[in-house]
Amino acid sequence: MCRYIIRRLLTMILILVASAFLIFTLLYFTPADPADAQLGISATWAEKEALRETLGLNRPYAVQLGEFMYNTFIKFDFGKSWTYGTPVFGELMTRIPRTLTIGIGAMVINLAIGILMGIFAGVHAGKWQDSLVMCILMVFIACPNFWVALMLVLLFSAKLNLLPAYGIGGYEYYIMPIIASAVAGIAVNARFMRNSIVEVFRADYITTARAKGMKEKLVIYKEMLPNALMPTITNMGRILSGIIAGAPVIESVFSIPGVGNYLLTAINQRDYPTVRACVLFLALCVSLIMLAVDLAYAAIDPRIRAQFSKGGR
Amino acid sequence: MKKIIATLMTVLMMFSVFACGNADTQTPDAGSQTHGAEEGSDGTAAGGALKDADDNGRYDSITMALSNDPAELLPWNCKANAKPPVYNAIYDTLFDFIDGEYINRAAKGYTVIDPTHYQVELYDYITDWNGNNITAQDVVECYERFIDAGYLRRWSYFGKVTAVGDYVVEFEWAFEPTDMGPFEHIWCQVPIYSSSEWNEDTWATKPVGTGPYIVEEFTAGSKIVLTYNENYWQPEELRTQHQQANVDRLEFDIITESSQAVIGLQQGTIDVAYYLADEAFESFQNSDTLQCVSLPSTDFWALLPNCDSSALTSDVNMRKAIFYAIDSDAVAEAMAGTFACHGFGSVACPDYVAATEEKTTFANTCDPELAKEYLAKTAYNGEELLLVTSTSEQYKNAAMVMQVCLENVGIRTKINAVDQTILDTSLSEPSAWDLMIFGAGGTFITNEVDKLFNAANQNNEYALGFIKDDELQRLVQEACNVKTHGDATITALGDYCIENAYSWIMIGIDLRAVVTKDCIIPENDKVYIFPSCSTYNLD
Repeated sequence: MCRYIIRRLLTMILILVASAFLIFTLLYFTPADPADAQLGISATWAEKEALRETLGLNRPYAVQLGEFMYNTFIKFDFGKSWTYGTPVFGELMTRIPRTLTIGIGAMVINLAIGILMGIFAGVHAGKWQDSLVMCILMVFIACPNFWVALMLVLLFSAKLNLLPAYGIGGYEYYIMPIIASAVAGIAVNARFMRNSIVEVFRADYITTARAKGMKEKLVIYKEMLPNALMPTITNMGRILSGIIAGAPVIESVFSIPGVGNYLLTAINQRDYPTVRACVLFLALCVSLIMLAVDLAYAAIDPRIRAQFSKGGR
Repeated sequence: MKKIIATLMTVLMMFSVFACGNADTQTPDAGSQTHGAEEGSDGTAAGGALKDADDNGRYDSITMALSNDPAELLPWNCKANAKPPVYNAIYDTLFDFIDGEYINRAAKGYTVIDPTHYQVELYDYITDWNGNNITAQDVVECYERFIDAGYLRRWSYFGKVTAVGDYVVEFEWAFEPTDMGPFEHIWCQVPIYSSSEWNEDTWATKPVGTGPYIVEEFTAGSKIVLTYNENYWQPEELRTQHQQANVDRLEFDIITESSQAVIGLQQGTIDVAYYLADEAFESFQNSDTLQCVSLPSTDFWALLPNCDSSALTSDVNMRKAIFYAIDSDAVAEAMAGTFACHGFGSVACPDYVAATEEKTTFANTCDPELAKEYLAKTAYNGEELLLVTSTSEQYKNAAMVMQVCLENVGIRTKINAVDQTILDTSLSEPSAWDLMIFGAGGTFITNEVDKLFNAANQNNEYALGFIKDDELQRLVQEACNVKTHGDATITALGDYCIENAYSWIMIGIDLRAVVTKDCIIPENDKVYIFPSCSTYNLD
């Protein structure tokens, strides 16, 4: 098992290097001049040239790429933001907890509500309870997260004055962003769970368990759930990646200074060091999430655990 | 079953859309005045009695929404990212630049030794927040750091700055500055602070300024809180306009989404917001506690034609046909918060020549028939012109009105709305556009035209819009030179630009904000709102 984890971590490094290469190249060939973005239209041609020289934009592609890779992976230095003039790494470290709070919070709600709704619908498959839950889930899926966010703000801030509309502070500032992030994921999770439950519901081992006199609740949570969880776990990894990647929208609506907001501003300003750092952070998050998903497989399914232990896969 | 579900979903969506409704602009009584709000407060109303709770003649607290994140408080790049209201409060510069005049701030005044040597005398009792006295050597080192940081812009004539006395600095210019307001950037945008306090690692979030306000809290991307500096070095009776400190506590909330700013105003958690959408701005007209302020600013939007030889618009008749076809009043109406410029330049500029409105030109006359006459003189054959604009809603509205106007005279256009950065880059690509809506600003008319028509800004090859015209350059130099600047030279330049239908400064922009009714914004604050030095009704 340890060997498997080490092998995955080494693969992760390769993924990060490839991501770094890709994002650097994409930004290099993206139209628009960062000097224009930084200085604005009122700057003279000479000033823009001077800034390009200062930022090293006039150097060959290979030189810039080499310097970037060396600084990032050997010195762990993402440089300074061209927009703000502050070290990117430090700013990222300040913002990551806020983004992760929203991401992890949304994931917890996803799990709690999505799985329960999926089990409820699956157990009552074909009945009115199933239809009702599916209807609710379809509404959840249809609503874009920014729309949900604005509706929550209108209701809980503007109308009821219960929660703050924007900013950061205590836990109350994160309630609406977490809910807005979680809504679509709940629906997807619940649907996957429901389908998995329906598949295992009529399995032979379930019938055997019932025949042995096991209580229905135990049958569901001890026998059905572990087997039904596998597709949901796969999906959770995807959803969590989506939540973190979708943070720019939620953070923008709620004015939360997280990684998403940082990335959005950097893209608009053509702040390449910041964009690269944020994308690498997202790539790292997704890789870690995928690793966690695989380890969760092993935790739940002893057959997969045995495979990992034998060094298979 | 599916039909029932679909109907249910439709009803649900419609219900939620209706539930959005119109914003309730009746804010809680005095809610916007009471903002001694603690962190975490949801901004509920409180009584007006807290306006000056400690009876010190200053408003208790004002919260201003910022559309961009200043991100750091380093002593450069002072005009970027919504920094001006914050920087004005925490830093002093040598002078302020108001209505084209240098207003003393950290400096008592300046003396012209010779055309290339100017001496500036400081007050000898300037202290920073930690009590350090600011000397001439501190000023020199501030400028050196400013230059090292890479922000030496538009200072082509700058030579060096040296300390020639304990409180006297001498600026040496490489050549005699001849522009209007040449020291606006050098003297009025470089913060002064003590070198002994300078710390590159911590200054971004914990600066030590000399201004009338001290940074109490700074959270990048979220909030900046400033409190009144009781030990501000300048006595109240000597403070100039931008040194006034009429509020005890200033809070700047970074709220990028304008709809959130609207909610903040309605709830009373925000007292000042200046970047609202037009409908939201209008919705506060009847508020009990808030007022809508609209002041003409020196910012403008111009319509640039592409004068490159490969473009259809290189023909002066084509340009005149386009300009006479467009109704600038209709464009201004479509954009909201703007006004049509009927003369040459923006009326808000101190050197605006009102007489330029008296001549009948495309700036004040929309004449489709005349446009068609000019069009008939061209080789135009129904080709589609590319009208490039930014993705901002106002720009797109303006573009659509222009498109309709041009269609009326038979000129076909296609609107291409692009990101601002791509727009800026496109300016130097002749094949990327035929017409462009371009925004800029400047204290003087001549600053505005300098951006548009001075080829020196484009590596001396051509002016914006690929204009190569030596006579234009001569007229620009004459109008912008402080020795020849005046009504005559500005008028001559304006006449020439109109005769050749070069870039049309079409629309002036209002500085619009929703502020608490207790706040009186000075009329000469034409570009930024400084809540610290606005006056307040304490009754």
